[in-house]
Amino acid sequence: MTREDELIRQIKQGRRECLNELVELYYPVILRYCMWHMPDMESAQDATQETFLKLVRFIDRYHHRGQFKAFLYKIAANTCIDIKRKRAVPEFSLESLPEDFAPAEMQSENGFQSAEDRLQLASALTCLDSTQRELVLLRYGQELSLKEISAVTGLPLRTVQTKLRRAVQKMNKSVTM
Amino acid sequence: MHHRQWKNLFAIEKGTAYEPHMHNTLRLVQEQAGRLNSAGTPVLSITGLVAKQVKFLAWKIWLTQGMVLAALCAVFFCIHANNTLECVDLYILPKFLCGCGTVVAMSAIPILKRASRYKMFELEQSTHFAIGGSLLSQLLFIGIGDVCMLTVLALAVGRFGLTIPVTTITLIVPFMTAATACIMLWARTTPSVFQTASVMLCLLSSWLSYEVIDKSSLLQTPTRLCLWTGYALICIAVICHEYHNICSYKSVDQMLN
Repeated sequence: MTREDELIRQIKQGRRECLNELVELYYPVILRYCMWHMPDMESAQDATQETFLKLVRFIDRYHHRGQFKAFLYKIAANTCIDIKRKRAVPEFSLESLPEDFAPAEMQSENGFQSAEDRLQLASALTCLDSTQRELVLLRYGQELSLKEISAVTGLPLRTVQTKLRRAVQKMNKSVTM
Repeated sequence: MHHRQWKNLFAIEKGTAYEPHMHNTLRLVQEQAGRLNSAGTPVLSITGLVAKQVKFLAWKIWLTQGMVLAALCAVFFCIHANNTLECVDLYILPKFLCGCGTVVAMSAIPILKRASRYKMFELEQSTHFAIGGSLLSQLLFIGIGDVCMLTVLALAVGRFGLTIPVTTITLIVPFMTAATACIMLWARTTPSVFQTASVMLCLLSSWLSYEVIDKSSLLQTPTRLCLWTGYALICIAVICHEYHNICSYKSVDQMLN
């Protein structure tokens, strides 16, 4: 039994203090996920907070079958969609990467290189459709396995593999052009 | 670019200062959990939900089914009163029973249509039950009513010469076919399409059922019974499978939207 299983079991038994540990466990990854989907850090933090508040509301109805991560990502995805709709944020554009987004390795390099990489990444993502973009973000941005991505998106594993492969081919083509 | 290169490009600064906001989130999470605990709403089990629904929903379903049953019995006794020869009854009765079986299944269509239209949100909000529990309680009430209706119909025609196997087959087979068709449509169509499509499909299945039952009368009785028992079990398995699909596909989305 993993730590996550143990925490969920205790939360369902009424030990609400375990919620803190569960939130701390997943806060960074959900924040990272929301940063990919929201236009700025503030919106991403709002979306992350709302995700965990929804988790508290729905956790009694969640039946734990080892797919808690998929459940949480689903909440995060729907929360980002709701916030974007309310604020009329466009789906995805070159400007949509958050201002304070910066890949770790680029932090120590000069600003020109990081800006160029940022533009390259944004350009590669804009050539994808929404499903492919989501798969790429989950795979490379969130570092989920293909099986986890299949659970999060609800797509069969084979479909995830095929779509991801095509997405990477498209991105490679856009980079070499 | 290589897989690893893409991965590096996507890597986000993991030391981003998120701790202050996370602590704020933790505080709000505990407040929310405290509010939910102090609300004092007892957790409702499925049997509790069913017991509560008897008062609010079951009597409406059974009243509707009772009216349908009364209409069918009235039609039957009118036909019987007009026919002086018993052999005519024996010719008409199997067809009539096939039609009755289908009408019994169709009596659930308005109820399922309403459930599909509003996705049982009002029930879900008040009981905190996802679609699975709500749908199960409705199907349970519909099923109880259907069993009563079929029993009454079987008893009504029992003394007019049809054997028990024939009565059972001509009632159950069209009923199971129509019920399976309805639940499959419920799971796959929009509310606007559901009502019309299910009525048409039920009428078609009624005619088909009668034709097939008529042809199967050439078989020996035990063989016929085995065949139709197997068919009924397949229909039950399909209904259970569809219910499971409805709960799986719709529960998370409806819970979170």
